[in-house]
Amino acid sequence: MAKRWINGDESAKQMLGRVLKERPLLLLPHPLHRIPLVVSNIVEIVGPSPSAKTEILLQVAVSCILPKSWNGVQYGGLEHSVLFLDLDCRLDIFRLSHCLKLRITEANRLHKITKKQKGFDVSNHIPEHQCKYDDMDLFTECMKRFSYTRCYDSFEFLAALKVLHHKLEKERNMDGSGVHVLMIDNIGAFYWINRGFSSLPQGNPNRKNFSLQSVFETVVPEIKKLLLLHPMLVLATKMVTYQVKSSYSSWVSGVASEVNIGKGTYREYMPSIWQSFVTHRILVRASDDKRKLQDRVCYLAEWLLPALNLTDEFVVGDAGILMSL
Amino acid sequence: MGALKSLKQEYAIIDSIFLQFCASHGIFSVEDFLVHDVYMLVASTEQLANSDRLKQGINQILSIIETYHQPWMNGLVLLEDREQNKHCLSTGCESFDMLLQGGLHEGHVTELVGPSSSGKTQVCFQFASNVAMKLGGVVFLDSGNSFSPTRMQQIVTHISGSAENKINGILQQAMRNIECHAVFDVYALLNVLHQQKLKLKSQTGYQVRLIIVDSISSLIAPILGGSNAHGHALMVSVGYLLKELADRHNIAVVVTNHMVGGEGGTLKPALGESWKNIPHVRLQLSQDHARNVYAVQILRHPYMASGRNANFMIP
Repeated sequence: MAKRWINGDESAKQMLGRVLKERPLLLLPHPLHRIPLVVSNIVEIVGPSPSAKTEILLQVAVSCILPKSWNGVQYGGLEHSVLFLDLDCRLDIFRLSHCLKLRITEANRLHKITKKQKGFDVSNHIPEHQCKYDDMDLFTECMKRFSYTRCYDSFEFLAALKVLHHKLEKERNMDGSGVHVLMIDNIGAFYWINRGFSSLPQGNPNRKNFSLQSVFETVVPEIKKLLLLHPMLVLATKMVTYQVKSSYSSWVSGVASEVNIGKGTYREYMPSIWQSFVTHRILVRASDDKRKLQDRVCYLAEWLLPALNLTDEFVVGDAGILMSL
Repeated sequence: MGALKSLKQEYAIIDSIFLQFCASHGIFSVEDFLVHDVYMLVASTEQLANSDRLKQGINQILSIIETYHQPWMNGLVLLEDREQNKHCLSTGCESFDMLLQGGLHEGHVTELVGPSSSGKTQVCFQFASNVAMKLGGVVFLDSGNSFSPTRMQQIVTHISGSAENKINGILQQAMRNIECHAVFDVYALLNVLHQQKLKLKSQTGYQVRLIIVDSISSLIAPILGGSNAHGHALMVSVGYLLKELADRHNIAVVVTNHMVGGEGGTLKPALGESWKNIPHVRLQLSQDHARNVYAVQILRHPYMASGRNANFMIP
């Protein structure tokens, strides 16, 4: 009996195999590539406006909804569904569909090139219009994996979270369990409305008011409950007002503020229940010296949690995010 | 949504016992229900006598909540809606149309930013005339008494290119399509916008294609600042109301904003950082006085790179 207790349940190798199957590592595209993420991580993408935060979410969405391979062509996607809660009410689906089409075309092109290199016969057995139908089928499949809703105030946000479990249950019964990625665009969207209107008298002392604090005291447990039942990676963007600490004398003399990169401060306004819920945090902002690379604005990305002392630079191209080396 | 009491008539399960149970937890309206933990409420019914009925009541409220938020749509449905319902409104100015790849997009809130006399109001008149003549209804919310029917007449004449005697019919039609409201404070603005919302929901024939607010900054700038957050809260509420009108009813919204001094003496758009997140498209106007030519530059766009610019002239 005692011996059985000492012999382990499984070896380390077996445990690693099991964990990686149940909670696979997700390698996300740039600039989130430095840290491997797992479902049930809560990642906060913080930055002033504009700093490509929504663009990052869209690129992650494209990588998630693409399949790993389709009809023999490698697309390198994660084949996960994406749930996009738009609190900013500003998403234009055209950008997502455009990037998706470009990625599909690019992958097809690379596939043809590798086939040629390997000496396979590239003369098209498949007629041109059939290829187009296949591409359309793939595009349709991918777009169906992207679910979107917008919330015009915190009540709609809370309502959406409360009934999300039923929606996911229904989908699971139809399609089988899949991993989801929950994206919230601008978790701080209703900060001013909640702050401005929370001091209105409620009448009854038992009633909870609708301050940001009490809204998030409900949002965080709802998301935690969802995560217990449905494995999800949560990516939330947060707009902040970023103040770079620059000294008056440096602007008067016109010297470039190279000392201030990464040393600016931003005001944290989210309630502590949300702050402690977040497991990872990355800061993105436009580059301080307003440099342009090929006529496009440069952005900087820096992981704050876990703190890596590295800053990655990237630009937003037509097809997606490009790291400048 | 509203008070639970008002649901009594529609749903038999929401009776006075249920209302009493809710009141004991401080829940008087459906909104209150949202900030409470459903599982805890269900658990608290266990000790009471008619727990089954109470649980059914809670389920009923949850199904009401399900209809409350916007429905989930997948990417394909969104794309179809965009292609079929959200068209581009031609602005009447070729270079503007080319810059914006078709014109003002229905469903977008477009902000025109520029210093004084950079042509913002004139551009708004141009948009209003073109849309009123060719496409549909325009609602012009004027905060500075700048709306001028004479100027509109000049623009309509110029766009249509017809002879003097034939202009009357076209002009009458165009002017009939424009609804002009003078608003001098943010509450009047909210009032007018809410009325528009009601009209659009209830009247099927009423069709507005463009809403112009000239200028939104003069209505909002005076209430920002100070120790409380009401000013910012009102600004964000106006923003969301405009976005809702634009998206639900397929309307293009144009707002104008002025500029204030920023770091190092450069100008920046007014209304601060929190406003930046509200418009879909931000365009900066400027005037080259020497050549009498205006320039417009994209500051922000959902799918085009910022920095693209174009020149145009105002007739």
